[in-house]
Amino acid sequence: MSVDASSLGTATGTAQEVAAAVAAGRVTASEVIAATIERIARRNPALNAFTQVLSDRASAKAREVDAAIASGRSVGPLAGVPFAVKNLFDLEGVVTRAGSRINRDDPLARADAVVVRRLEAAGAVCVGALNMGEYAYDFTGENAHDGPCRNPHDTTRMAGGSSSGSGSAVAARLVPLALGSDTNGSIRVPAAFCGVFGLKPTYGRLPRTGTFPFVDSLDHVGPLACSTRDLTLAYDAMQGHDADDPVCADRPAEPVGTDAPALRVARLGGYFVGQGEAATDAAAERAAAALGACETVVLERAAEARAAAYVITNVEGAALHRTRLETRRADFDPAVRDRLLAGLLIPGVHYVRAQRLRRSFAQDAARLFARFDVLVAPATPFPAPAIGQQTVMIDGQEVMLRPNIGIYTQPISFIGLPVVVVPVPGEGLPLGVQLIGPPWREDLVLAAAAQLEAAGVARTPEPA
Amino acid sequence: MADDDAMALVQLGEVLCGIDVPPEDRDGVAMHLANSLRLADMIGDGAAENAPVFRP
Repeated sequence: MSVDASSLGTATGTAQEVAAAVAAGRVTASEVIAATIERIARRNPALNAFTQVLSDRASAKAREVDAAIASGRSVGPLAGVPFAVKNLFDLEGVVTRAGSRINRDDPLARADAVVVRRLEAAGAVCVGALNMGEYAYDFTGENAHDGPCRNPHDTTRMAGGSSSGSGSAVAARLVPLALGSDTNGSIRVPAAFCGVFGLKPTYGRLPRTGTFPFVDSLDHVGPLACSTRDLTLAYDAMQGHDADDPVCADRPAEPVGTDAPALRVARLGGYFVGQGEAATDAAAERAAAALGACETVVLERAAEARAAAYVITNVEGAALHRTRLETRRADFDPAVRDRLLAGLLIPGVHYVRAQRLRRSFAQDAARLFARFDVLVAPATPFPAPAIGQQTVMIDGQEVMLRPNIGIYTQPISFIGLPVVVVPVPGEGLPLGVQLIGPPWREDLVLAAAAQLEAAGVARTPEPA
Repeated sequence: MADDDAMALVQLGEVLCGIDVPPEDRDGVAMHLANSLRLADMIGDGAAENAPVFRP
């Protein structure tokens, strides 16, 4: 039986379903990609998720997949699956913008990023590059050069950042899979605001080779998708050591099994409760209860960890961009420029103290993981704010919006723990919940996400 | 840190770091610097190690 290609990768078409249909010959990869390109052309103007659509490249790759199938060759677990990448991932023959005006003067990338190559080796097809906050220093998705990326559930709302296009494109079903990067929450925030699943693996798990950096001490890459299974397929395809990223751990790929382990789960309390809207706490409570959590535990010094992540980000980001701040000052988004200039002026002793906190804070977390496999916390303190919004009311107090979006994500990436954000729909805009695991145990957080999905607690809502 | 102190630090930093913060950016830079330094003051002593190298 043939399949209507236009339905694949849309509301009912997950990456898993697309790959199965392509591999079985029910639809060709070329048909899937043609339908995807048409869908992007139709819907992207309202969302501004894509900055570049690579029709020729995608069509050529799809023909390769179809030819492989026709000749009986193995095509991989992601055969014909369209995906797109935050525009800080190198794509051969394309300028790596990293959300900036300045990088548009850079030469064309000479090769794909390693994780892009690995996804395509598994049969996936890259269809384009996605909007993002300038140089990834952003939680809103408001880009001064490319315009704001919009939330498919309400286009007057932020998509979240800095992997804004990744969250928006997946939530709108333009593609079933996207790649983002996460330094302080840049996969987890857009996943939460847009109501999709996002995986930030352990720091050092996936190679960052061929991506434009932000904060080397904290940068991660990972996938966003509409289901746990799709996250897992993409994650497994991208695993493995790469010597060109000095942070990438020299450990073998550890494919995620399909077992459903009995998980010991706790809700994170203390710092991770009551700093946002009540609905976000309620979503975390619902997820924790569904996973059988019977205890609330406290991760001490989370506020310190968040502060230290902030300082490290400010200093390393400033160091990375110092020359550009001197030579291309007017080409920065003024809001980003001010933060980076401030980072140049922070005394070095603060940076060293911030780095030193990481190991002892990780030991605090390890003590919790001796008793629990997964810790549950909200992803953001509120759902997607309005585009242009500058402040937010929390606990009856008006506070600045931007510095507060990442308060729940920053302490976790500070020590590189693996996290899956799951969408837990309630009334109104999507809400995200973090499922946090011990280092190198992505399998546990993915298993927890799968259990929540099977229980109907976590799911990607239909776009408006 | 008071805003006045942050502004003074911006001016000092221009000299020590050899950077030039244009007048139109000074208020914004001072605000962000004050915020970063306020957060930096929250950081405790952490581990006693000297090498700021972290692996999960």
